[in-house]
Formats: sequence, structure tokens, C-alpha cells
Amino acid sequence: MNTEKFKQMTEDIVDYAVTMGADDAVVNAYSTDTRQIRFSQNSIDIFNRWNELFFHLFLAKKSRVVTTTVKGMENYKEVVEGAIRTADVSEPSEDYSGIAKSSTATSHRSEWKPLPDRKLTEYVETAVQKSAESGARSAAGTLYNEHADHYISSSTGIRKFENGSSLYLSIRCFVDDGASGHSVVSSLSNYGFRPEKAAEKAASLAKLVGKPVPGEEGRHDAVLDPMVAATLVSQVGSMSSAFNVLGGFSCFAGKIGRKVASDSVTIEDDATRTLGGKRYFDDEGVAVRKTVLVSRGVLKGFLHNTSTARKFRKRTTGNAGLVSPGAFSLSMNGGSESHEKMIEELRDGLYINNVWYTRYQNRKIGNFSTIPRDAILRVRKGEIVGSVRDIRITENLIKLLQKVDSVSKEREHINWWLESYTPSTVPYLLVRNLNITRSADTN
Amino acid sequence: MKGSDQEASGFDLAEKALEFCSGAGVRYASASFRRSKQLSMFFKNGSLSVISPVTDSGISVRVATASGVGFAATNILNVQGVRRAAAVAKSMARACDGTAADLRSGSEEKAKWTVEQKIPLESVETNSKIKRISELDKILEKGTSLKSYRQIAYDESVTTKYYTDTEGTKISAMDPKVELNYFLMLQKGADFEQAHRQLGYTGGFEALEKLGVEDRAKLEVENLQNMLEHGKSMKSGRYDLVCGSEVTGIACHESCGHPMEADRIMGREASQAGKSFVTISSPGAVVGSEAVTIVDDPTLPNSFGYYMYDDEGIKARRRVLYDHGRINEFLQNRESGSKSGFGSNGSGRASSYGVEPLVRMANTYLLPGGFSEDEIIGDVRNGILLNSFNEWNIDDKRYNQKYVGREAYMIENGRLTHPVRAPVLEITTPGFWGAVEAVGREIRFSGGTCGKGDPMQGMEVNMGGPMIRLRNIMIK
Repeated sequence: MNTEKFKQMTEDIVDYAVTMGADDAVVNAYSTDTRQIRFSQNSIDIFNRWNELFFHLFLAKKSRVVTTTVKGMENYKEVVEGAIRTADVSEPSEDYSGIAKSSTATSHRSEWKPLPDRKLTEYVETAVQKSAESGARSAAGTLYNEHADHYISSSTGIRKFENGSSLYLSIRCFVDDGASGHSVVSSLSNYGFRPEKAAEKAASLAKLVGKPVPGEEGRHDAVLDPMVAATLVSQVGSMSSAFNVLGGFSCFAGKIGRKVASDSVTIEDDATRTLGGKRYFDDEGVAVRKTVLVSRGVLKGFLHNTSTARKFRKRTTGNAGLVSPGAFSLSMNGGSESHEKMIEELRDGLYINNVWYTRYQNRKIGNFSTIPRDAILRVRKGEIVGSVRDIRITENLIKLLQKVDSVSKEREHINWWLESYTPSTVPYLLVRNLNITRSADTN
Repeated sequence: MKGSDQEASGFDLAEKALEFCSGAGVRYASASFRRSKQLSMFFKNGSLSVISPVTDSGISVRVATASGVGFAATNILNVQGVRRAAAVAKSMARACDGTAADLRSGSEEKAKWTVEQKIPLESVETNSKIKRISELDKILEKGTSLKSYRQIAYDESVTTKYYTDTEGTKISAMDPKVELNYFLMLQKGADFEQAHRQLGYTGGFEALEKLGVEDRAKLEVENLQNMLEHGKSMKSGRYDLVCGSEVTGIACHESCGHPMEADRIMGREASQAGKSFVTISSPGAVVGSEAVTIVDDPTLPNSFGYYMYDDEGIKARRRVLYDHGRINEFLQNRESGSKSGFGSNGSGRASSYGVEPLVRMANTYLLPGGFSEDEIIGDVRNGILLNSFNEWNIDDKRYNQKYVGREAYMIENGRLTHPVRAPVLEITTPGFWGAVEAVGREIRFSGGTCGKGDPMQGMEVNMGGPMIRLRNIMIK
């Protein structure tokens, strides 16, 4: 479908929804071309490609909120009529109080020339080769090349277009089964894309592991890799959604103006940056902007769409989600020290490369645990002296953020699978007295 | 076009797509069509935040040559759309320069499976469904004198599937599912307790009765208030541990089902869901006591993980994963079965038309033993009953796991005495399964959405088993 037809169909769906009785209607339309290569044991397992067309319709009729999707070339009238019928038998949403009436966002169009398939397999080969050269026995990971056209049309007259492309590599390198390292790299263009950089870091970390021994329970000073920092910052993003705050499932509820982190911590959401997660407008068509969530440890605000903003008597932060606002591209400030210097300053501590399986006992209080994986290096008097395994970080989100002693000047732009699901630009963190637990019967 | 016409047309398009997949060097190809009619509702603190009727249709093709596998999906359901998808998949398979697994099974299957809906989902008016879930919210709200925060997600789907491949296999299916999740947070002053419950069923709207949704919710809110008002902290130490079905089930899923996935064992998921402490040569190794036999069985009628043929056209059957404490049979799809030499045992599942089938669990549970629940608790002098959990996780080799109690009680001299707040079990897989010395007679299941793959594929599963007793376990 060409761009003009794509836009026209988007507008037609909005118009038809209004004709059928919707008070408010918004369509976010996407035409996407995504290629992905999955590889393991140094070989490509599968090469995937998805060409898809979606028209996500949000409508409200007498405050009854319905969402649906027109997919591909199907008859949109039938889908809209079904959505209106659903609204007619539904109930008003207490959360809903309208959509944006205007927008200062600009449309953006960039030319895109698909890379040849062979170029993508070469990226993987380059990464695998660098991994081997850096000492790893095997590598596994994923390469993505995505392009999306996004057009929004709303019943309040907002019409904006944006498009963009990205390249992304996640690579985990193994020296042996117990010795691994993980890193990711991304770019909005092939000119700045360096898969070998991630491979070299992951393999170098794997090489440092050697033969890990069981870790010890207790309080440990630790330098956390940006992979770990990104997981924590993603949690901050989720807890900062006004929808989660209103719902009663955020440990940040009622804490605006209070210290939720150390002075070293400033966290923002800023999708205007030319990095993964970049966009020009949110799902209501409102221009995205920088929103400070935490400033020098003090909780400053939440992420809003028009409806949640009205509940809080604020203005939207341009973070719609039409039902639930969310973070798009998070950023944590950098500091003045290099991460090498931070490690050198550790008298007795750990360097943790990555974590996964972050789960809460209580989201309102913020008690959670997460499991370190890949390189967990033991540091004594500033030197890496070995590695450990089988440990868990058992913490409270706010208390952990309050224990951030310093942040590195180097930052990486990270998103990875389930854990750091929101792209985040983050430094290395030096955390004091991180609570480490482990299985009682580890040996 | 009516739904049934769209499905017939989808079947034809899948066949057309398969025709387009032929060509030089193609060793195996398959095409899958799905049309899934879905309804979702999300309630927050009693208010219906959003309701979403969606029909999701599409076709995927997978093409395997000797050097690579290409997979392409499209929701543009016309001849042009599937021709392009087939061309793309072939081109990508040829762009790979390795050694691909042989995805052929050597057999040809033709079958149609459907699941009866005693109360067809389409026969129940949407407003009746809204009313039913609203009433469930009221049970959660009114069942406690404490302030509550509540979120309820209701999801239903009726999915028509069609699979066809170059070996002549043709499988059609009709798979209706109902899923309910609720999150509950109770507040007493500055103190909070939370609960999450997930229930799933393959069938019609009778699911809510069959799953006993309202009764469970009533009990849930009572238990949570009891924990918040009367729960005491406990002293760390060694106790006899009794796990209720919910904890037995999550342990079966996390520390038996996952480590027995052959793709994970062979490193295919290494950069995401991780690897396994099990190796391809582990069968026969001891990982639990004689009392521990854990199976994964897709054929349990109306279970959340039910299917008769997997998404690669392989007939489903029960797999015995741990047999009397020993590692027995891995879960396999076509790819892992080929690479490992064991062949597929029907564990290939894809969460939508647009993603490749991976090795997945279905319904994973511990087989029953000979004890009554009274006997299990009655023979504990100083112990803990861990009936359910909130926080849980396990490392990426599936060896170190943690379960933190939600509903838990002290057991003294064979009797439950008082509730215990958040007891923590952190234990290795052989530490857990090796300590099981009594297994109950009654099996109960919980629903789950198992996460794996990239892009993430949430998969419907059940997990469960009977109450079990473990001796001399460290509880923090």
C-alpha cells in the first residue's frame, strides 16, 4: 500500500468511527518491515521477515472505551461497526477524560533503502567472528533490522506522519557453559552500527569469568553494567506511569517531591533523542518531550496521557498509550568517573554484567529480586580476582536506588528482551551494600 | 466475507503459499494460516478501562534448505501477499550459509481437531460478560474490610488454525480459550499485601464455572486479609516444608519443564531465555527422589495447554520428563528433534501465525502419590505450609530458584497454627526435588503464560500437581 493510500485509509477509519457515533477516535496506523536473524552456537538458526499493516483504532462513545485493530486489507467498516456495537453495550470508564485536541508535533519523513539480506547475515558473521577473535567459544543472539511508517489521525484533527529504521544486535558469548558475557548495540542507521563492538565486550567479559565459585550472601559493593542499570531504569519507567500509580501498583505513588534515589540519580524520559525509541509524537499525536522523573534523587513527576493528566491536574507529558501512558526512551545521567576507575575503587565487591527474571513480592512497597547472569566478577582492591555464580539480588527498588554511590561517565543505549524493555541510555552504577542472597544448598 | 468463508479462503491461501515455496534446494516448507477472534477486557478498581474485540488473521511460511531456514509472515491475505511471503522466505533461507536442521518428520498426517464449547463464546452477549467480570470485581472489593486495589483482565479467543507442509501433512483445528487474570492489593495502614491469580481453560464460557473463579476469588481475598492482619514474621532456619499445588506446579514448570526443553539444552535460546543445567547426555541422571515423576501432557481435555496436534503438524502425546527422580525425555520440536536425533514429540508451538514454532510446554505437573493432605501436614512437627507465592524467579540454567510465600502458615505438631508473612525458599533444583518424600493424591492446576522466544511468545500452559512434603529445608 503506498503512503497516500495508507494515510487515506487511516483517516477514513477515523471518519467512519465518528459517523457511526464515536465521540472521540484515534487511529495509529503502522506499515512495518522487520527482518530478524536468530543465531546460536556461532550459526544462523533462522532468518525471519514480517511485512505487516495495522490500523489500531481507539474510540470512546459516552466514555465507553474500545480499542481494536484493522489488519491488512480487511474491510474496515465491519471492524468499526463491531467496535461501536461493543461500545454500546459497554460501561463508561472512570479513567477516560478525552484525547488531545491539538498538537505541536511535526511530521517527519526520511528516505529508507532496505539493506540486502546478505548485509544482515554479514553483520551476524562479523559479530561471531569478533566473538571468536576475542576468546569466546560460541555466540548466540539476535539481529534486528526494522523499518516502520507510522501515521496518526484523530477526530480532533491531529494528523501526523513519522517513519524510521533501526539496527540492533544482542549477543551473548560463551567461553564455556559457566563463563559468558552479554552486550547489545543499536543504531538508527547502518553507518553507526558496530556489531563487533558488542561482540568484543561480551566475549571479553566471558573470558574474565574463568571458573566461578558460589557467591556469598550478604551486603556487597557492586559495579553494575549498563545492562543491569537499564533493567532498573525500565522499572522506574513502569512505576512512573500514571496509570500504574492510579491503579495502586506503583511504589512511587504518593512520593512526588520525596527522595526515591541518591543524589547521583537523575532519570528522564526523552524520545526526542536520535537513539532507539525515538519518535516525534505519542499515540494521541502529542509531541514527545523530555520529562524529568527523578532529579538528583527526588521524584519529580509521572508519565501522562491526556486522561491521566486530567486526574492529576497536570498537562500530558506526551507519553500516551491511549489507555495507559508509558516511557518511550529513558535516560539516566552520566557522572565524571570512568567505569574502570569505579572498579578500581572497589575494595571488595562485585561487577555484575546482566540480570534477568525481575519479579516483585509487592509492587506497592517495591520489594523484588532479580538474578545476575553472565559475568559476575569478584573484585578485591580494585583488581578482578575471580568470579562467582548462583547469586540473586534481593532488594527494594527505592532502597537500591538510594544506594547508588556514583555513576560512570560512559553510557550505553540498551534494550534487551524482557528485562530492559524500554530503550534506556544508562551508565555503570556503583552501588553500596547491595543485598545478595542465594540458594541455601548451593555448592 | 463471513468468518467461515474467510477461514476457507485462508486454508486455500495457505495451500497457495506452500505451492509458491517450491523451488531449487527447498528441502521442506510449511504454511500456517490462523484466524483468531478475540475479546479482551481490562477492569481497574471496578471500572472497565477498555474493551477490545479484535480479529487477528495471517499466514506464515517456513522454508528450509540444507543451508538455512527462512520464515516470513504477512497479514495481507491475498495471492500477492502470500506469493511475496514465500519469495521472501526462500530468499532468506538461501542467504544463510550454514548447516540447517532437517525439519522433515518422515510422516504424513491428516487430521482435524476441535474443542467443544458447552457455552459457545459467541453465544454469550458482551454485556453479560462485562457483568460477570464486574461481579467478580465486587467479590474482590466486598470480600474484605480493608482498602483494596484491583485489576482484572479477561481474555477469550476462538482460533482457527490450518497447517500444511511439503510432506503432505494437513491439520486443521478450532481452539477456543478463556483466560482470567486478577491482581489484588490490600492495604492496612502503611502495610500492603498483593496477590495475582491466573486461570485458563480451553473451551467455552463454561470456563468460569469449571474454574470456580468466584469461589477462588472469595477465598483469595479472605486469605490475603488474614495474612495482612494476622501474619507473623518467622525465624530463619530449617523446617519441614509442605508445598501446596500452586507451588508444586510452578516448581514443575520452572525447574523441570524449562530445563527439559531440548532447544534450550542445545543453546538455541541462549541469548534470551538461557540454557539448562541438563545436557543432551543427561537422561538417566538423578535429579529428584523416587517420589518425583513429572509429565507434560497436552492431551488433558479442556486444560489451558490443550492441543491434539502441535503447530508443526505432529501428533500430541504425554511426555514423561522426570521419571521417578531421573531425567527421562526432553521436549522436542522438529528442529531440536532433528539436531538431537530424538525426533519431535509434538512440542512445537507458536503463539500466533507470525512466529516460528518453538519447543514449549503444555500442561506440566507432578503425578499423584498416595498421601492425603491431612497425612502430609499431620506428620510435620515443625514446618511451614507454602500454599501460594508472589515473587519467584529462577536462573537461566534453571538451577537456582526462589519462591516467596503469599499464603503461608506455620505447622506445629501436625496442625496449622498461624499465618506467616513472606517466607522465602531459595533452593537448587536437585535440592528441591531430591527432598520430596511425600506426594498427595489430589492434583490441582493453575494457568500460566509461559514466556520464551524472540520476539516474545507468551504461551498458554497449565502447571500443577498435588501437595508435597519436603524434609529439613532452609526457609528464610
